[in-house]
Amino acid sequence: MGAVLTLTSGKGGVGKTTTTANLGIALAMAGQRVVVVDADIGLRNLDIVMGLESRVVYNLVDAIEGRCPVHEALVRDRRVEELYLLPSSQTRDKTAIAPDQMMTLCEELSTIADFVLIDSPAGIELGFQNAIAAASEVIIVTTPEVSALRDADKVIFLLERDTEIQARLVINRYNPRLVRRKEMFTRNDILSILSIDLLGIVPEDDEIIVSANKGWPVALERKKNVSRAYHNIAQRLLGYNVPLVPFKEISWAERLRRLIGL
Amino acid sequence: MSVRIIGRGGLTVVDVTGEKGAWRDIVNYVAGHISKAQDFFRDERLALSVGDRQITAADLQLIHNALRGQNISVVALHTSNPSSYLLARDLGLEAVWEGPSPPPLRNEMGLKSGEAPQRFSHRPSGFSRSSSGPASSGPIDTGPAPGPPPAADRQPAPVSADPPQTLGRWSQIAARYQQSRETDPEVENAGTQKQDGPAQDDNRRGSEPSAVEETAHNDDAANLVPWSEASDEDDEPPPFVHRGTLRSGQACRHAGTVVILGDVNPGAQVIGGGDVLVWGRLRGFVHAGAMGDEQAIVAALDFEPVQLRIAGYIAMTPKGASNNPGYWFWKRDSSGRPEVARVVNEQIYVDPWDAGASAW
Repeated sequence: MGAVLTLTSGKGGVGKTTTTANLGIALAMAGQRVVVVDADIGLRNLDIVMGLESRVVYNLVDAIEGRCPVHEALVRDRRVEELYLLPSSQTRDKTAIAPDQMMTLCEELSTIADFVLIDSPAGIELGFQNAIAAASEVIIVTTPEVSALRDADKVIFLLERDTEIQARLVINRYNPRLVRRKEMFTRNDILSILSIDLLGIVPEDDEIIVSANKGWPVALERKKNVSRAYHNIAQRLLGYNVPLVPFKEISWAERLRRLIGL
Repeated sequence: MSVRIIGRGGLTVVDVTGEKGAWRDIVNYVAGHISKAQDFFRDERLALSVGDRQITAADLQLIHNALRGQNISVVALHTSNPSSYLLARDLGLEAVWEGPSPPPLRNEMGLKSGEAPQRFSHRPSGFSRSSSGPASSGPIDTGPAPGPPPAADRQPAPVSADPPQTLGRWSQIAARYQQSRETDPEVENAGTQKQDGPAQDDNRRGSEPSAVEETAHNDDAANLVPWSEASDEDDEPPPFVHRGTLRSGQACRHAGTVVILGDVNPGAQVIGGGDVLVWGRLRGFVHAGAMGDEQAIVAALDFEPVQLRIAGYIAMTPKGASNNPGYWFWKRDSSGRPEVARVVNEQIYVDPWDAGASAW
């Protein structure tokens, strides 16, 4: 049985879809068999970010409503060893499926995959409930912004209230330069508010946006600097203890000051 | 003595409506009567009908103590006296209004300033500035009204056309309790403070059958914390202790003092009838003395609430906005010391908590 991981955030636009795509690729490149599921029914975009749009035949709703077997709805990503995408439907909406159907589906998927990554829609309504219904683990994606943190806090509250799942945190679009100028929350601020385990930090980088637009997620290129963040997160999910990428969060003057012990 | 005691399947109804004598005599009479037939009344619940007699917490304490030996607990008070009605409601009893007018609201009582100061009578007098002054501002909390603690059946009994002495009415009342006891264990939990376990077994925080979580399943904005236990020594409700962080969207309400062992995050609410103590960071919304007690305090290890209310007074964040609007919402320079807020001269003041030099 594979693990079912749901990526969720509460707020929209923090990078759930991008993170799901890159994390799926990183896990697959680490030799895992991965299925990424787009649970954002009605706003289908995980397939676009992964560059698999043209190959979609069936979708999640078709699989749930029995119009095709689940394995036929899966789209294989040929760029990596074993990565499959279960796209969502653009024409239906989130009421098309119910949490228990999602659970049945993910149970089936987890028998054939090591990791099932579910890309949750924004919000805390039915779409969110669907996405976390089957999760064995939840990854909260947040950005260092007040609104995103507030929503993430609420999501963690909901998870603690309704489920037994322990959530872990990915901080996305972290900008060390702004942190250095004390204009953005530091990672310690964020962790002190959300008080959950940190899974990784993804720095803000234009490369991520550019590559997502091209349908060629940045994690595919190990050489790129930012892709290291995703691969590190994947390694941590596999249980390896990988240290955080050091960011230059403090200015050189500050570092010098600390060095000489002032 | 015109006291009627009717035992009926698990509920004893004591009707003292017609009795004008001293309360102590009534209690002695009832206790004596019940102890004569101990086996018949054992482990029963008791509903008290007092007419328009003014009942104080001490009176209830008296009868509670008198009957404790027989394992009989007072669970309900039928009254047509407004202050008795509110008191019973405050104490978590099933309060049933029998007066001709609609049942009184708390706001009306806040202006009368009868009960609120004496809740905190245990506090040394060094900090009793305005205990006698009229609670000039009742709770002007127009938002979530600090309602009665138990979320149980709060509807006043339908005012029956029958005169209050008929047996038929009592049968009705008894049947009502009987029903609620059999069909709805949660109502009983909330309303009568029986020592049963929590109705739900999913208290994930492990340590407490926390009522916050129990009720949070219904509606996070309106989770009321029922009293967990009737207090024996005091007329003040027992403090409620919440272990763990209160996150955005979570609310903790309680008629007495609230203690949070953990952080109160932005977007969370703590509303307490008494003091609010936070052993952690306080960054959410807090309202102490929500029923009008101006002597309530708010204390926290790290004191950065978004908004602070004590009784009818409101204070914005004590540190003020910094140069970056929005930023202070989450992060302000904290003094790094525990601080305490209280009302002095109709204003909320926040002072560092000085060990040993505290005001009381």
